Amino acid sequence: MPPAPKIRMTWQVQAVIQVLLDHPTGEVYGLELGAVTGIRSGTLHPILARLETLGWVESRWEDIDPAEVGRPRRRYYRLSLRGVDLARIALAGADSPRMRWRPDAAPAGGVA
Amino acid sequence: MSYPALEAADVPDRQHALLIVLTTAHNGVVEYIKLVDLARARHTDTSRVRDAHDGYQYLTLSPIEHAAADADVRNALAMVAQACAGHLADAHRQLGSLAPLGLVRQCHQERAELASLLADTHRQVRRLADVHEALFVLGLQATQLSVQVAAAIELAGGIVKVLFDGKEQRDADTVRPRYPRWTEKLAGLAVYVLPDAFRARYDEEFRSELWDLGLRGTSRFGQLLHSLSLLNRSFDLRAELNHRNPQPAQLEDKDSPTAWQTDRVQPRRPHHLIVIILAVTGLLTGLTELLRGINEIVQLFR
Repeated sequence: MPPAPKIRMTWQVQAVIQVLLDHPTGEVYGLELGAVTGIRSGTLHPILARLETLGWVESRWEDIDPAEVGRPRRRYYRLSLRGVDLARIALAGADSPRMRWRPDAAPAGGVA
Repeated sequence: MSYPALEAADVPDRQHALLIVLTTAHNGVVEYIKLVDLARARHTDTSRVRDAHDGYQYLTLSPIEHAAADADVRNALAMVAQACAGHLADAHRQLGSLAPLGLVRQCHQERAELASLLADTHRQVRRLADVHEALFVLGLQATQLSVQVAAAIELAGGIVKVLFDGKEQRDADTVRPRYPRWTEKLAGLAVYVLPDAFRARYDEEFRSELWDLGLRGTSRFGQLLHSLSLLNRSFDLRAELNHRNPQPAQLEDKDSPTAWQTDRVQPRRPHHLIVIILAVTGLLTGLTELLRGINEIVQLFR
């Protein structure tokens, strides 16, 4: 069993991890992730960058030709194989239930 | 004119020979009448086909078939007419030869009938010629009609294609998201403070988010909040990225060709602009919080 990572499990981090764990396809792009968790993009991207730096999350570009489709590519995020184990451990050891993120407890305010 | 075969025979034999000749001529005429009836039936069928709108394909093919059938009919008619003429001439000669024998009176009725049949045959032949000519004209008209129908179908296909392309263009215009230019500028400022190796990646990612927001119909105010949020936390993102060595894939992202990419993201910038951006970011952060509060108040009153 890999050792638990050192990361501050704020409710936003828990929310991001939980959504990535629960998502059917396992891949979510930033705006969708923000819409589900209620986290604004400005806050979300540093969290994703931190998780990506730790190796919990890996990302890839949407597989389209932007010139052909006429829009920018999305960046998809998913938990890495190692990140899945680490994320489950981290969620299980979250500070307290009160601090844990719940889908129905997402703050209002949309995705912006 | 002499007919040794008839003259040499007895009167009953001559009558028998005459009956044979007349019977042969009669059979030929009956056969001819059947052919004429067949031609009439074909003319009737063709007229029905001409009146049918969706039967034009049959008419398109029928001229060829009609031409072949007409040729056969003409040949058959010519042969029958020739045979009839031969038989009638023989009958005429036989009757002439029977005149001295006093049999003309007996055959007068048959001669009159044969003459009537011959005249009727001539009329039928002329009428059949008219039918053939009408069929030929009809075939030409059907051919012209098929050409016109083909041109109409091609034209309709072109119209449908134009309409379809226009619809696609309208659909593209409909789904094309529109977001204010200044939201893209604000997102560009957020990208600007990031390390060089990550600018291209986040520039495209932030603009894809603005694109999706426009696609979802988010209000301009919501898009402004989104851009300010990105700008507000851009230094947090910068701090996170500074802890990471750029991956090869991320370095490649800098040079990834994108159709919409502007010249806004440059690999190097003067350092004093960073200071200015820091000051502007601070102001915008306060403005963001103010607008967010206003937004929440507005949401409460809705």
